[in-house]
Amino acid sequence: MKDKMTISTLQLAMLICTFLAISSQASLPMALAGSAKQDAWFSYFIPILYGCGAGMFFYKLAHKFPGLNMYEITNSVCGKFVGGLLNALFILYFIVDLSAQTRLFSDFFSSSILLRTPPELIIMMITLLIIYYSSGTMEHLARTNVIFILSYSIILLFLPIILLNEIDLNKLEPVLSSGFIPPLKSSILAAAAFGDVLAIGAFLHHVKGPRDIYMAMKLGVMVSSFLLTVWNFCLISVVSPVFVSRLIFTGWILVQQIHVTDFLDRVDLMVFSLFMPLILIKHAVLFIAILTGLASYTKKGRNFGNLMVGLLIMLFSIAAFDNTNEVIMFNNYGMIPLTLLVHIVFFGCLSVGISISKWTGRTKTSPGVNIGLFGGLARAMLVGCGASIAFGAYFGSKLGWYGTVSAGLFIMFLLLCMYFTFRQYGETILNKG
Amino acid sequence: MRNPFLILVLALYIASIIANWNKHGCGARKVIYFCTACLTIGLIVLYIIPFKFSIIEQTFVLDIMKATMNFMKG
Repeated sequence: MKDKMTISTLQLAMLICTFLAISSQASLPMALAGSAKQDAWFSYFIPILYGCGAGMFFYKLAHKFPGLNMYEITNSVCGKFVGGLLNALFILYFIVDLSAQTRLFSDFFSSSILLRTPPELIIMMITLLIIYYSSGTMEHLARTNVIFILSYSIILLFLPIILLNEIDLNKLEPVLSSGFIPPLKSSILAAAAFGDVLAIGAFLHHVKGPRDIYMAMKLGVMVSSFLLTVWNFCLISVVSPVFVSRLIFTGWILVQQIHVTDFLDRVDLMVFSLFMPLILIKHAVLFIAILTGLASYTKKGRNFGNLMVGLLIMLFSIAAFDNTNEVIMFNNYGMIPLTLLVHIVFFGCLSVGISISKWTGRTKTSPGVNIGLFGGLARAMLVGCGASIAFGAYFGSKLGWYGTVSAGLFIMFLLLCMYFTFRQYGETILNKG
Repeated sequence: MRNPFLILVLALYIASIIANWNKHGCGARKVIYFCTACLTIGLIVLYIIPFKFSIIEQTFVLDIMKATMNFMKG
């Protein structure tokens, strides 16, 4: 029995934003700066392409199989046995991801705010909270998320202004002077961190139509990438690339640098009181995706298994990792091969299944997305972002000014791309209802 | 068992299996089988092969992680 609550396009976009932008702020900048040094803030161009590609895939799935989630689509395309195996693979991937993230954030909180609390107790509290959240519906989560993500996004957007006295643009130079490879490597790391967005596939049946799913994915991925670009820009220009690549939780240090006035000295406490609920929401979404996958086997409601799965995740979070270094390494580097494997196996089998069913006439062909004027302009701006990085990477080593110009162009194209994506959202969803 | 917290969680897990065994016909049992299979594999890796403490250290995941890290930083 499925949860039939519907969520709006904007709510789903914000949920995706929470899913992608928040968890990549804790330890990922360390890996990005380790690979690309001062160019780490260019890392979110390829993740945008990946996220839009995933959105297009969901659009096609939702168009061919309306009202079904990804697990049910797999079962109906690949049959009960192969579909069951693929779903098991996906559920295991989410269990591994959730266990690693739970441990990562428990280590983060036990080393930053809750210094004398044992990490096991923090893991227990996180797991109990997500078990409690999962007994509700997706609509509850989506509505809770809207409040927190809006406040947190406003703080992130104002970060370059409130950190103005700390920002040193010299730390960003020389821009793109080491060629294509370092930004490409950091982009792969960032794209792998976006891999768990596939959990959104478990909630395809909550959204009204395929067009809404595509638009929510595109908007969510764009906003997340923009916020993460701003975050990494501030980290590199305030903390410096050398420190970012060596410190584990650099985000904590960045927000501690915010000194608005003498009376507003501890802005970090306010930031982290918004950050923590968003992390819990992300964990709850992953947890519900696992439960929905298990419910596809049992054909019953998803709630009765939540305590068992929660305890399993609690056990894995504690037993799988020995220390913080292992957790960080696993989240930053270990997830790349795992995500790649899951994507190849799952989407390969699903694409083959869909092609066979199309060939035998069991499914209809889906039309392309009608992107409209603003969608086309957003794509053109995205091409501009890629071209500016390519220009900087090619000519940046020859003359420093070329790199600086390409960085300026990248920021301009990214802002325009954001603007046109919002206009496309208004054109396709708000105006047409 | 080296961590008392793990014993507590394991006991809770067994209690939840007993409490859920007959719920929703065979529906709950499928979830129990899936979770128990995952847990058994995890515990075998951890305690039957008692070289190091964490699952990550005892599996090939650590080698993959290190190789990826060296490639990305290299």
